[in-house]
Amino acid sequence: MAYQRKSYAVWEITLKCNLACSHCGSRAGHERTKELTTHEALDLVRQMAEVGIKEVTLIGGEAFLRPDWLEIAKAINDAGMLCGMTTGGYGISLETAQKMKSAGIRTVSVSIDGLEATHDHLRGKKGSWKYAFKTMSHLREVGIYFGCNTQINRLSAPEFPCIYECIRDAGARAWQIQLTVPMGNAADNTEILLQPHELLDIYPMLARVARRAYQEGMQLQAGNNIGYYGPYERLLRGRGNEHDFSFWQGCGAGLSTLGIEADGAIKGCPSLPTTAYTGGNIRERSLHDIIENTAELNFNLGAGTPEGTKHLWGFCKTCQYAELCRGGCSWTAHVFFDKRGNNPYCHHRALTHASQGIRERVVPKVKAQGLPFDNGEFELIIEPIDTPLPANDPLHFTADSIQWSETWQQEPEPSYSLTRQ
Amino acid sequence: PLLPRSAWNSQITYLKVLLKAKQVLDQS
Repeated sequence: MAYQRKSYAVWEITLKCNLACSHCGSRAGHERTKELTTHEALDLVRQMAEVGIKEVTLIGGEAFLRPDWLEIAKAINDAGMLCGMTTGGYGISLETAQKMKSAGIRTVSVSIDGLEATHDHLRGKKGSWKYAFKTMSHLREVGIYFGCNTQINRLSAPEFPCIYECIRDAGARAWQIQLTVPMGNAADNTEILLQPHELLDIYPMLARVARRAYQEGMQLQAGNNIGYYGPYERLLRGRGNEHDFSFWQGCGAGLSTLGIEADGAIKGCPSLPTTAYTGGNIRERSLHDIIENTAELNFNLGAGTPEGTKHLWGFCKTCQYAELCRGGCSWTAHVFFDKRGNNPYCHHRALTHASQGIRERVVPKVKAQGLPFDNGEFELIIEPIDTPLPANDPLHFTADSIQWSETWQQEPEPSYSLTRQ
Repeated sequence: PLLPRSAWNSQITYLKVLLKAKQVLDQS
């Protein structure tokens, strides 16, 4: 697909879900009180087209559990916007896939968070892995372009190369990867989160798999918390077509991206915490008004001026990439420290610390409240790199944890050159 | 249309910062 994403809304049309993921940021399960009516949803479609949105991805919860979801999808398509969907894939029959095609759903991303046992464990439902692959076969049969998305954490990371082979063989054409961060349910399951220093072993693996994915025709798409400015930056951000400027260029929340919650709350990005980043509700103000006139939708304006970097603190404030990077993914930084501007999930940062003989760890300090899109707070520990790691940490990730199948044995490991790969 | 919009008030500033980041990345 040569399509280039310009302006993009991710719309949680219901919080109702048929899975129970232990990393779910929205703590999906039951629907929200007062989710938008069909009439309100269709009016929001009109407003999205008016403000310039070109692509809408329907999510949940599980989007297909909302009875009028295909009516909404058709309205998006009729309004001239590309309609996509992200799904857990637990329950899309061939008949449903055909209806999706008829409604104009053009792309689908199916969540695959490990090999079968890990996926079913993380997603709280035995059989969900098998059904996700059945869903992919149905999408393939009706001719809907589909890919996968995967959360990278201490449970899924060791299986990452094998996950690639499974989804490649299922016919996935794109693969979005993202580091699991402590929001919602994941804030209550912190043992599965990668430690910042573990990124030193994560990124060479990602690079090795990415190279093969590109060679075999799959577009690996680095999520917004993959990075930043390490030796594989251009490879991972280039989506198979790396160039001099294929590197991270700052958070796009409210600039090219919108997030919409099922009760009409509007944020600059679907992942951002509700309390701190909701600009307003579509029931009370127009979408245009919320985008143009609320601080929560405009916090990324002002790059290149002192305003653009005043939120930075800690390592990010001193970083040579600060002015462009602006602290990486706002969501990731915020859910660790309850404010954005200092992002511990950064490869360049981990490498810099390692070269200085130190490393970072994050330790839970304040628990999350138990609400959708909530977060707790972590303490950042900086210590000599040879300090013994905490005992009783069975999920600690190292390069030795990675399961490389036989098909990888002939592949060269990525060189660790710090220049363009 | 309101979106997409740029974070940058000045295109020239953006290009300067972008070029600086490229050079640092090339040399790192």
